[in-house]
Amino acid sequence: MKLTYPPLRFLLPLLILIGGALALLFVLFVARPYLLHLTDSNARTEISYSVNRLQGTLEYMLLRGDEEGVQREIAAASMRRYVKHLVVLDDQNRVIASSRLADRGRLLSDLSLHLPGDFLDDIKSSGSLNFYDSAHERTIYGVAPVALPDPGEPRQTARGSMVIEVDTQLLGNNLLGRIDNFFLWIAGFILLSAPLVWYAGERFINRRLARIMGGIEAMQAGHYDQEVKLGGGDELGQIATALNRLAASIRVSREELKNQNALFDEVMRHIPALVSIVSEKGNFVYANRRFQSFYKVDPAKKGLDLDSTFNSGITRRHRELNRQVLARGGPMQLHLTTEFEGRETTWFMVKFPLMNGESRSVCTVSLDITEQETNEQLVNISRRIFENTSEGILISDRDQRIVEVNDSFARMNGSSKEELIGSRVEIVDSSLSGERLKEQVDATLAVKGSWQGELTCRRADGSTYPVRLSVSAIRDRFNRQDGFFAIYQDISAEKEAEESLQKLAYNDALTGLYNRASFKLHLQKALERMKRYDEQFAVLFIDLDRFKEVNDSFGHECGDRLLEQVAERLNEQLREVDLACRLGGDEFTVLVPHVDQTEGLAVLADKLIAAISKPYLVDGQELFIGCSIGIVLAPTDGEESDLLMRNADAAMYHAKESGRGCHAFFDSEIDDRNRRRIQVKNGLRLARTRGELSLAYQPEVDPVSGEVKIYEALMRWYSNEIGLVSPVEFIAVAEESELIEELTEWLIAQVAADCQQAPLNRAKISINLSPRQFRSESWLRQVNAAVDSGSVDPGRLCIEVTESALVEDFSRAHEQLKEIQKLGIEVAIDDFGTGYSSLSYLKRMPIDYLKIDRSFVADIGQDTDDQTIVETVIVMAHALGLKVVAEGAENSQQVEFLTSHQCDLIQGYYYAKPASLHDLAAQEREQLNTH
Amino acid sequence: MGIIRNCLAYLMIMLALSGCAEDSKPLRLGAVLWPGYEPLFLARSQGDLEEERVGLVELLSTGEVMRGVRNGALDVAALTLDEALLLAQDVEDLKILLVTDTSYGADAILADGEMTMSGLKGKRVGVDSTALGAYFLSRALAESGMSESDIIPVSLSVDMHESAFLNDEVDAVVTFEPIRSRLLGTGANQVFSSRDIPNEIIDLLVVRGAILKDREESVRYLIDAWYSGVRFLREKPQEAYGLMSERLGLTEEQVETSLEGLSIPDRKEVRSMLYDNNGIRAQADRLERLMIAEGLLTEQVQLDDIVVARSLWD
Repeated sequence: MKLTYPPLRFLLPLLILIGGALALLFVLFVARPYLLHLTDSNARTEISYSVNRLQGTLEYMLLRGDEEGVQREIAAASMRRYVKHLVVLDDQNRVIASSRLADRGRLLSDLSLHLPGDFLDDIKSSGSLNFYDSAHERTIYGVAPVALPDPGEPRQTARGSMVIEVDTQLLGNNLLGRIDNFFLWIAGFILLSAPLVWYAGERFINRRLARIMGGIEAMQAGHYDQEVKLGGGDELGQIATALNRLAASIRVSREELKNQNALFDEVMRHIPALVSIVSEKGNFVYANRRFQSFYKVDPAKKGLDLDSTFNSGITRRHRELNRQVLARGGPMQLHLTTEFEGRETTWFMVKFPLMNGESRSVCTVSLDITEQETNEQLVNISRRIFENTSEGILISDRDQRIVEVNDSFARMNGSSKEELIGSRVEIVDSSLSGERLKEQVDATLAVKGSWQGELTCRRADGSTYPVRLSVSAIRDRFNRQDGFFAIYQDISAEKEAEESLQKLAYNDALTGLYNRASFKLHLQKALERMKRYDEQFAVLFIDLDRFKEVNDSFGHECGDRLLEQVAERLNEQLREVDLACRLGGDEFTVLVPHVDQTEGLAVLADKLIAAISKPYLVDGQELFIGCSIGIVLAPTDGEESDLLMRNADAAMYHAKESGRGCHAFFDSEIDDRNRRRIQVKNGLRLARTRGELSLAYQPEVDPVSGEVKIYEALMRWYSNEIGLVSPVEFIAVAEESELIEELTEWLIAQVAADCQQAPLNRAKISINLSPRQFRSESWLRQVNAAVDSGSVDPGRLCIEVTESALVEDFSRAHEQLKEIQKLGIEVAIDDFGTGYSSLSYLKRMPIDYLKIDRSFVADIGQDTDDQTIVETVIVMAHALGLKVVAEGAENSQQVEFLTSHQCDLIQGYYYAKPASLHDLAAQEREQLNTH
Repeated sequence: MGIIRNCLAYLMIMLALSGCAEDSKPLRLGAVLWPGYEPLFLARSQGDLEEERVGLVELLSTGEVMRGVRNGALDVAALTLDEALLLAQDVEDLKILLVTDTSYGADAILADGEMTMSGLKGKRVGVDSTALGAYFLSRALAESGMSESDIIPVSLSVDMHESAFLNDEVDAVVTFEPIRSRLLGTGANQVFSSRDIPNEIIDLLVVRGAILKDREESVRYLIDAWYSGVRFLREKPQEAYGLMSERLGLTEEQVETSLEGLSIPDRKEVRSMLYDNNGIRAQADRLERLMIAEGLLTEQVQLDDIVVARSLWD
């Protein structure tokens, strides 16, 4: 049978109402009558006690006649609330004492007591207390007999009575009323509490139950995140808490499940392999995304089987393998190469069975290892490169211990791989490359992670070798340096080549001294130092004297040997800090740093001159050269390298001019002169074409006949830029270059032109040759050409050379002069007496005239020594068959002396100043006119 | 909501019923025989004072009355002012409900023969040991220019007054009605009476404060009953005298005489005595001082709110 319970919200109040009603009924029909009965009997007992007590007291007092006491006792007793009336009656029923004083002396019948008269008599006769209920008055009368003295019979007692009227309501029913009230209250309370209970039930149970129900329904609907919000620690609260806990635990489980699912999905999504699950029958159950993208289909979703996914060959393999896996019941690993859409792939494949109850399937995880295989090959290649490369490779760990080296490194290092691995390695050996480089490399490695550069390494045997090093830091995944690998390239050979190149570039190949380029570099550095540190330094410019002669005479080989020796001597004399260079040819420089006093420089220069001037032994031949040294001081003589070099050159020239084999400091005068020299040189180069050159002729006169025998052609140059330039100056300039040859050529040509005209056509013409010209044959060719062309009559031509020309290269001069003489041209020694004036060459040389230098002639009449020399020369020359010409005769005394000593010809202002052909012609015309 | 409303209504009815039940207990009023209190009994006889609401307990001495109040057996008591003060010493919440009467000759000093007040010098004067007796005697002596040392006081309880005077055990007695009327009837000479000091001897109804709280209605009923008794006495004196004589044990003439010694103030007068002219308070203070001086009061009585709240009279 199915019972339907009323809802809980009504059940409780209903139960209470029913209980309340039952309680009321109980009170009304059971408790109340019982209590009525109980109070009634209590009342009667109470009255009995009171009456009994009063009975005794009153009888005692009455027997003693104390009516006053009786009245007092009655009054006191009447104080009881329930006592309505208390009367003591005598045997005649007359009031003896009463609770109402006014009753005294009255008869019972006059009183307002509703007692039947016979009842009183019954009591008196019975002698005991009895009650009379007067129900309508709610009153009980208690009547008791009282013994009292009989007024008639003093010794007898009469029997009076005592009546007590009690208000039953006040006695017991009052209590009853209160009990009624009490029950009414309870009933009321119950009735009232019913809605309260209903309300409370509604408030505290039903609504909360509804919430719990709501929570359960939510859980049913799958919402486990909704918490049942129910306070209180009662059963419902506990249920709610338990429900929440349940929900939470389910939620957690669900979350875990979800997470695991998500995890599975995530793993499947990112796993670098194709994962598929195929049922025993060959249908796809699952294929991960990679699988889908590889085969471009989701076979699980489309319900495909193996056949419709792969090609038949692969399918057969898979079916076969799956069968094996299921049969074995365990995993299986294999490598498999498949071809799909023309692409060959190598797989590492794991297959394992999945047992899910009845259904069995096989999960296949396929990892594409095509690339890995390629990588392995690459690694092998790398390994082979590592092993076989000529570069040394070293790999270290974090503690700078060698982890791996290749054979090349071991070879380079001069030790075995076994010895190296495990030992400590320093990238930079600070004892070789310096602490700074080490720090720099460490810093670069730390910042950039790699460093390339060259440094020196030490071999196992302690020897060193240069390497080109490329080192890279190896970093771990926290980007901490976890060691490094270094590639060493032995660059010893390269270095050597470089060094020799360096030498080639900066050193003179012949002498090993610094070359011009490197000197410039050093000079530049010295200038910088000077500017920075205010450091005075000097440059010595050394030019060898007479080296050209050596070269010309003994050949370049010999010259080179000589230069080597010169370089050696230079080095011997110099301090460490001094720098000797060969600029080229026979020019050397010395850079002297830290110069305090110029005297020191002079001493050094003299030492050098002395050293270089010592004789040399080259190829068994003793050679003599000298040198001239120009000295410049920086910054006094210039603060730029070009200027310094120019000034040094100038100083050297000055030294050379001052007589070879000496040194000269540069001063501004030299400079000026050099400028002049350059002007002259430049001007001279253009002089011929500009027609600035001209000839002046000075006659050499026979003093006896007064006849002009020879006209000496003297070159004159009037430059439009610098004015008249003395032959001394410009001939010297011309002698330094080939200009002299040009001048000679012009001179010959001019003389050839002039000699046809009067007065020159009546005398010989002499021309001056510079000693330098004897170094080449060019002048000879020019003269030959002029003679051959017939423009010059050799019989009328005379060549003047200075002694030095003969001394420099005697044999050559001798040959050339001989050839000239063959042509019929006469030769004169110019400026005789100032040079060597050696008799031996006078004798051997093909000479026709001796020209006594003007310094001797000038002293005639003043210096007897010079007069004697002149006499001697004339005598000696005549003895040798030579004619004598005296130069610079200015007065008659000189002419007379010369004439008297049979001097053949006299030249000088006494007879004539040099004059142009035009002037000579004019003079002659004048003389003819005067004649 | 209907159910709740019904329930509440039902509850209210029951509450009302239970309140009635509580007040249904009758007040107990204790009184000795004194003409000034008779209007109470007159009211009862006329049905204006129902036994079910106020039960009158007729006692023989004020000692019993006071005991009844102290023990809680009585709710209301008819007492003189001095007795009220004495009682207030023990019953803290005792309040004066109304003034029943003031002595206007009812209290007197009676002497033998032709004696006057001054003649009492050196005589034996019987006086009960109550404060009223002491007070009345001291007032009488003071009015006559004497002090207590001028006489020989003899302590006599009330029931002894008559016999001691008649047996010449004392030369004079300080007494009051109805003894005074009876002794005057035997030829005693009145030398001083309360008519000489009107409004100083005061009779009262006092009530326990708790009663006022719980059963105010009954107390109001009592007041009304009192004045209906007073009205009856005024309007039908002969009928009243007849009723009174039975209780007092006096002839109607004697009742009339004894009433002459009293002044029974009407409602308005009582109200003014209680609240307006401060009569009760002043007299209570005076009496209190005397009682303390005489050692009758051991401690001062709090008199500030000795009178019932005025609202009861409105």
